[in-house]
Amino acid sequence: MPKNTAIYSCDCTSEESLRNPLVGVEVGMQVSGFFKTVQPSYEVAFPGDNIHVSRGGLEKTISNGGAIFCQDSSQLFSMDSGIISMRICLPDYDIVNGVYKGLGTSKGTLEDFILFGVNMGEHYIAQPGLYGALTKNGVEFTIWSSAGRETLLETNLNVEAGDDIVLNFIWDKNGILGDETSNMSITANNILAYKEAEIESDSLSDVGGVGFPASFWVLDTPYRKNDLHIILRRLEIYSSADSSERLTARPLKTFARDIESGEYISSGVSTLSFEIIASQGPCVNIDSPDFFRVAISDVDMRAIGPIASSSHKNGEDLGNEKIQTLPAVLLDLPPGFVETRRIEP
Amino acid sequence: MPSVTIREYNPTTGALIGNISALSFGRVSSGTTSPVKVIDFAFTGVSVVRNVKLGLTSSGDLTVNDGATGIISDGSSENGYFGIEHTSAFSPITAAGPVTRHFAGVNESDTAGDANNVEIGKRSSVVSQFVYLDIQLLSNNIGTSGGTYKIYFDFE
Repeated sequence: MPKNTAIYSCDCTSEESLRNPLVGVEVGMQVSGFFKTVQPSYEVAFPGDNIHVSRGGLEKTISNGGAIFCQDSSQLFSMDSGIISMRICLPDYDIVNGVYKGLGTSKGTLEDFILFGVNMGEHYIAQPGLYGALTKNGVEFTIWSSAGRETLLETNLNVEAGDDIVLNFIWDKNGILGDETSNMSITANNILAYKEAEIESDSLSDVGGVGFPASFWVLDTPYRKNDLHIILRRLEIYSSADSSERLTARPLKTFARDIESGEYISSGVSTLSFEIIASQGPCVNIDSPDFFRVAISDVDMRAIGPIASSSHKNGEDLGNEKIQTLPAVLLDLPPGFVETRRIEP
Repeated sequence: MPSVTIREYNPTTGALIGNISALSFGRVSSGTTSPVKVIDFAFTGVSVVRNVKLGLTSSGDLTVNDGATGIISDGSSENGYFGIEHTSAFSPITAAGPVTRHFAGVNESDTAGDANNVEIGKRSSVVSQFVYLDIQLLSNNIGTSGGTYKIYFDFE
């Protein structure tokens, strides 16, 4: 089988489309509960939306409890490698830094909003298993093999309520993205998270004994504990993670290698905003001078009233000086003087 | 999950003021230089950080540099309007300002490898050096301006 061929691909136009998908009728995908059908719409609903992408889908609500499952997940992928790709829409709440803001509104018993699970119990997976969920820590992808439990969190995704999200959960024990030290990744729209993970080739076909395979559940557990609102627009599953055609178009984070040790290191970035208020400093503003005509005044300096007089010797303070307050208008003449005014023509 | 905490220090005493998410230079007279802000970066969720760099990804409408000269190994220039210095031990002299080294320009590529970033050393495996920042305003700068510093780092 060609590596890039989907094992299962469904446009999710109706419940029937899940059982009769574009690819993968033989895997026996089934429906638990029921879904409300969202009629296809080709409206460009948000920036980056594609007019060629149908925006119909299958709507899971609190009341209908819809879930999709396949009894034998080994028909879809293995613990060695695979891709689970989902185009979803969360109509009610935003995703901010990878965290779905609707998690706190759940009335169910699950803290996480389960997107898919392999070897699912009532609340969580058993080993060997796979798990994808919207959690309070971000978009989670967990691979639990006999080598241990490996969890990857995507915490950079920001999506407004009602916008579509394309999530790809990718794993390959031999390395993905052309890098042997990266074994699992999440691409969420165009954001990539990845990590090196130890994955063991555990069998999914006989986890409960010979003939009892691990089941694959989408949007809920077998016990139907998920009660949040979601629209599933498309579901694709690949058995191989060697899907370079699908991934090369996406911006990839650079792998940094430490020069001294040769070890792979990761890069991070954070921001610090600043504010400064520039104000006018201390200064003197001089208005433009006004030019006007001067009125010449003649002042008669002759005293016409009684004028006090006094005398004292130098160095002797007689203590009888009269302290006179300056007039409010400095141009006023002292008492006893009169002003006559003549205006020149 | 790695995270970084930005901490501000008293520029006179060097005492920790607290964690910050934004840097406020306050009201500064046009044509003068702001007081110096002293900060550092503490990384958690990592065992070691390397290549800690600070970039100026946006400056509002403020001029960053008219033409950088005297650029040294950490990427800072001798001239400019956005001051930046870094020391391993708190320096009240540097904190008294004005800062003598500057950003050579804006990090327009928004990448860690941008030549206008300034490399900040470390005081420990997960704590950066003290960073001193100030801004010189031109006489025609009036009103509120804001921008973003960006911290780039590699971690293990």
